[in-house]
Formats: sequence, C-alpha cells, structure tokens
Amino acid sequence: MKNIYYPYEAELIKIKDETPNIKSFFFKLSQPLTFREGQFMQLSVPGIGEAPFTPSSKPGEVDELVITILKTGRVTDYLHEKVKPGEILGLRGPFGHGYPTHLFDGKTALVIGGGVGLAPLRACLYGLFGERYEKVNRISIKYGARSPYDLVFRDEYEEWVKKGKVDMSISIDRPHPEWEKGEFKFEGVSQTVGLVTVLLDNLDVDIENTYAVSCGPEIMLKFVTYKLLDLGFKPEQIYLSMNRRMSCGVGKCHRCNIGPYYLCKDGPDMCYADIMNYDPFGSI
Amino acid sequence: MKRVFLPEKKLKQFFSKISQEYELFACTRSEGAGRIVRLDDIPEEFEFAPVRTAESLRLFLLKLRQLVAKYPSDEYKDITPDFPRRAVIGVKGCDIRGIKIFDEVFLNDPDYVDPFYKSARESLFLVSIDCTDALDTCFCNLLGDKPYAEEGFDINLSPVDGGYVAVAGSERGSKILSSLSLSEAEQQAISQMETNRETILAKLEEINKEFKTEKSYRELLEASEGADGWETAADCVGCGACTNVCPTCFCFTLYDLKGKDANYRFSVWDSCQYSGFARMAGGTNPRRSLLERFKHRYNHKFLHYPIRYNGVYACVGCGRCIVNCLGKIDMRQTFKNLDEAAKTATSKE
Ligand SMILES: Cc1cc2nc3c(=O)[nH]c(=O)nc-3n(C[C@H](O)[C@H](O)[C@H](O)COP(=O)(O)OP(=O)(O)OC[C@H]3O[C@@H](n4cnc5c(N)ncnc54)[C@H](O)[C@@H]3O)c2cc1C
Ligand code: SF4
Ligand code: SF4
Ligand code: FES
Repeated sequence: MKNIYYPYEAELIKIKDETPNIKSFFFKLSQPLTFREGQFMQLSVPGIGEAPFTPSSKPGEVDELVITILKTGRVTDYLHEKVKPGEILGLRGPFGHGYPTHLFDGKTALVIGGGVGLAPLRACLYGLFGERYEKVNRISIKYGARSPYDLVFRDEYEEWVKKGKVDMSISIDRPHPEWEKGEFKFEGVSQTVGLVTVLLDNLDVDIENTYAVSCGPEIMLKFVTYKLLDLGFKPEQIYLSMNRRMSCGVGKCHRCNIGPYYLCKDGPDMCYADIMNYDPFGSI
Repeated sequence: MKRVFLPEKKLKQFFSKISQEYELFACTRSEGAGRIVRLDDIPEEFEFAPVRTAESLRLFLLKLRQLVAKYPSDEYKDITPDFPRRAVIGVKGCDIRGIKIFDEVFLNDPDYVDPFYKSARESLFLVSIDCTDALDTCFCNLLGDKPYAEEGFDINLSPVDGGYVAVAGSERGSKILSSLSLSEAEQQAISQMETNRETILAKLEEINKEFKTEKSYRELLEASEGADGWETAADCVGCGACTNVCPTCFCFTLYDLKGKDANYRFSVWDSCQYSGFARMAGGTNPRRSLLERFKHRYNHKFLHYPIRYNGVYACVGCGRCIVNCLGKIDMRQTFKNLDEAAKTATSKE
C-alpha cells in the first residue's frame, strides 16, 4: 500500500536569495508530478521536520519545482541556514485543491498578495498566463511588502505588466528613502506607501465581474476581506489562501481545520462564503 | 441474523478457538469501570465487565508512537505494516461505535487510506457484549445510541441464564461460531436478552433524566457561537485527559528524528486541548485561549465531524472524559447549560 507519510526524494539544485529573509529553493524531482496552482507540498528536511509550502513555479506536469520560503522557525531556519544545493530533501504532495482559476474566465482576476504571499500567487499568475490567458478579461495585481527590499520577484513585475491584460500596483508599509528617491522603479507599475489595503482604496475594477484571490499573513487577509466586503464584493467572490498549522496534509491529524473544512484537503484556498461562519480569523 | 446459544461451559472452548488465530484480550470486571486484560492462559471461567472498560480501544488501533517512515528507504514507500493479530472480547457497544469514527477518517477516505490504521484494524477481532449495568457517567442514550452493539463486531454476545446469545457480524466471526457446533438460541433466551437490554436502557434514562436537553447537541452548537452557557469551561485546566481517554479522539502529529543510519518519522498522539496544537509559525494561533480550545473539542465532536461524515457524532457517550477530567467537568452539564441559555435567549426575543 502507498505510504501517505513517506517523503519522496527531491534534489535541491539551486537556492536564490529573494529578500533578506526569503529564498527560493529549486528542486529536481525523483519522479515527475502534476500540480495545480495553489496546491501545496509538504517539504521535509530529513530528520529535522516537515512544513507545508505552495510552489511558486509554473503549474502542470513538472520535474522541477520552485518553493519560495520565508525564514520563520525550526524547519525554515534550517532551510535558510544549513541546507546546500546538491542535498536531497523530501517532498509529499501535491495536496489540496488550489485556486479556482476556472472562475476567472470572462472576468477580472484581482490578485492581492502580502509579503511571501506573492509566492503561491505567482503559480496562480503563471497558470493564468498560460492557456487561460485568452479567456481572462483582466488580471489586476495588488502587492504589499514591508519595505522595498522585502518585495519578492522584483525582476518580473515589468514583464508581467507588459503582457497587456495585466496591471500591477505595489505598496510598502512605511515611507522609505530609497523608495522615495525612485531607486526601486518598475516601469508600468504604480507604486505607493501604506498597508496593502490602500491599493484597494480607489479600485477601478468592475466589481460584479471580478473574483478576488488573496494570500498573505492572516491579519492582512482579515483586513483585505473586510475592505472587499465594504467595496461591495460578495463573500462568494473572495478566495483566501488560509493558513493553519498542518501535519499530515491528508485530512487525518485534524490540525488544519476551519470549522468542518480541512485546509489540507478542501483548501488551502477557501471561498470566504464557506468559512465566514466558522471564525476564520480566530483570535489572531 | 442467526442467533445461537453459547453455553457458559463452552466459553473456554470459545476463547481457545479465537486464541488459535489471535492474541487474547478480554474485558474483565473491576471496581468502577472494567479493565482490559491480556489472557496468556485460557481461563476456566471468566467474568466479563458489566460496563465499559477504563481503557478505550484507541491503543489497539493507533499506537501512542508509531514509526510511519524510515527514509530514504524503499521498504517504507509502499508498505503493508505487520500488526499482531489481536482479539478483544467483551467490548461494549460504545467502543464498537467509536471505531466507526476512526474508520471514516483513516480507512473510508476515498483519497488517502492510512496503511498503519488499516493493518491494525484488520488485525483486530472484536467480540462485543451487551451492557448489564450502567455507570452514572454513561450517556449513550442521550445520543440516541443503545447499551449494546448492533453492528461493527465480529461476534456479539448477550448474557442470559446459563450462557450467551451469540450472533456473528462478520465472516470470520461466523466461522468461529460455526466451529463450536452451537444450537439455535431458544425464544426464552432471546426474550431475556431483550429484557436485559430494555432494563439497562431504562437505567440510562433514569441516570440521565436531569441532563435531557430540548435541542440536540448539534443544534445547540450551531446556535452557540459567542453565546452564554459555557460556564463549565472555567474549570478546564487544559490537561488533555479528556482527549487521551476518549475512544473517538484521533489527533496526532508527525515528528521527525535523525537516526544513525536513516531518518525516522513517527506519528504520535496529540491533543487539541494543548496550546501548541494549532500554533503556527510566528506565533499566530487560531485557538489561543483555553475557552476556544474547550469549545473546539465540543464543536469538532458534535458539529464539524457530523457535517463532514454523514451526520454521525464523534462521541459515543462512554463518559470517560467525565470521570477523568481534572476540572470535574461533565459534558452533559455543559450541554444542559447551553440548552438553558438557548431557552433564555428565545424567551427574551
Ligand atoms: C498551505 C500552506 C502553504 C504555505 N506556503 C508557504 C510558502 O509558499 N512560503 C512560505 O514561506 N510559507 C508558506 N507557508 C507557511 C509555512 O508552512 C510556515 O512558515 C512553516 O510551517 C514554518 O515552519 P517552521 O518549522 O520554520 O516554523 P515553526 O514555528 O518552528 O513551526 C513548526 C512547524 O515545523 C514542524 N516541525 C517542527 N519540528 C518538527 C519535527 N521534529 N518533525 C516534524 N515536523 C516538525 C511542525 O509540524 C510545524 O509545521 C504555508 C503554509 C500553509 C499552511
Ligand atoms: S467525548 Fe467523552 S463521552 Fe464522548 S466518546 Fe469521548 S470520552 Fe466518551
Ligand atoms: S480533561 Fe477536563 S480539564 Fe483536562 S482538558 Fe479536558 S475538559 Fe479540560
Ligand atoms: S494537515 Fe492533518 S488534517 Fe490537515
């Protein structure tokens, strides 16, 4: 019988610094796998532990995978500090459903990210830039980070907005001298200062024909959700990449629930309408 | 279902038949609750526990600490774990129903089957026996359940004068019974079995009459978000005893260790009542307070689990959590309080 807890070998081939505390890890898989945008993997550092991450690379059938990771605790510290290219790590997955990209056909995709939250969303964007691109009306990206140095994938924004249907605005939390001086200038991208919700202040999308997806810290998801509701979005139009502590990834350990939903099986991207009655933002 | 009569004097033979294939465990009478004991020798006579045992069957199905992977190692990619074949004789209806709660999660999930649970489950032979008494903490009747098992066993025994009315619930159970050349149970024995069942049910009704609620437990929780009625939570100290003794609790954690020759992954019992259970990286915690964790246990058992799995409660009313609670919290009282609070709320409207 297949052992659902066994981590398959994956060779780490490259590590790329994205920001002072975020790195992208490039893997070569021992066997190809097919993943949908938003589905996640359980990444094991052998003998140290396992944690869930959503690949940031192009979805589909792949034999390479990129995972973009914020340093924040036991497993991620180890990944950032000790692990070297050439080492064999472990992967289980893909797990969960992922983003409901089919909903974007004929609509606007409003993609809202905070910090490392742009990593899972990049897979979603890559998915939308593929076959779906013809069908989507518009892709509007709103992205916030603490400072200019905390923006991930900085070398890609200009390429994205050049595509035509894509627009992007970025904010940093607090004023920053180099931001002011224009040292971080992205052509075709509108740039401002404030929490990511400021990017929703003068939203110019046709709300009725828009679906929003958001990924970022829980506190951001909370304020983004309330802001969207204020603007007239219905709960059915809001999808959130929810975070919960996970262990098994396969709906057994009962750790990742929001009400009756298991994020590992039913998410991690959840429609707000489904979870709104189950205290999704808890006592954060 | 064919009902046969197993005379007391054939009990030894019954035990030894089962012991040919299984390591024998049986539920014996003890002060208060019964106990599960290992039978290294086949006893001449055996006195079964009249009520549930102190131990639940969780230990037989989900080990406290289970090695789930040694990696890298081909041996663990695909695995048919080898569990000792065991029989537990004298299990009560509540514990038989408890296994169903596990089955839904670990076995009947169309996407992922847990190979360790599957093996342990298939290696376990279960003989249930009707309750012949009730503890004052038993409340299966409040959940609409009965003090005997109707399915889920290999063999069920109903104690009557001079022996037991026996029925098989599986092929392997049927094989054991037919090997003993038993005669069909007489009408008198069957009536006695039915009378005993009614007597115990009536006793349960009496024990629990003060705890009866107007609304069902599920309805009470559906309506209780942020509402009154949670006073009992103030006595909770978060020890986790309630979940550790429960026959339907199944939370676990995967834990990795570095060994000399390989890396090891264990699955270890965990409890949603511990503050670290749901804590995420960076310290955010969706259930930071004791009260939230307390409510979560009720919500999972009586609201979330039934929504996910065909309306069935993840509680069988065995009362172990009541007996073992450090804060002396009685789940029935919590629901009674919620019921009262709901009534007050409606009368105010
Ligand atoms: C669906 C999902 C997708 C995510 N995607 C991303 C992403 O793309 N990028 C990103 O940066 N973050 C992502 N996260 C968040 C990320 O999972 C956490 O930051 C990560 O779990 C932190 O792990 P840590 O060990 O560094 O932190 P800690 O605070 O130390 O957390 C402990 C975690 O490590 C595990 N652990 C600790 N010790 C052991 C051990 N001995 N054996 C086994 N496990 C052990 C625990 O199970 C727990 O998950 C995602 C989270 C979820 C739920
Ligand atoms: S919650 Fe309490 S009464 Fe219900 S099955 Fe568990 S231990 Fe028994
Ligand atoms: S046994 Fe009682 S005190 Fe301990 S966690 Fe459970 S409810 Fe709280
Ligand atoms: S991570 Fe175990 S149930 Fe979702």
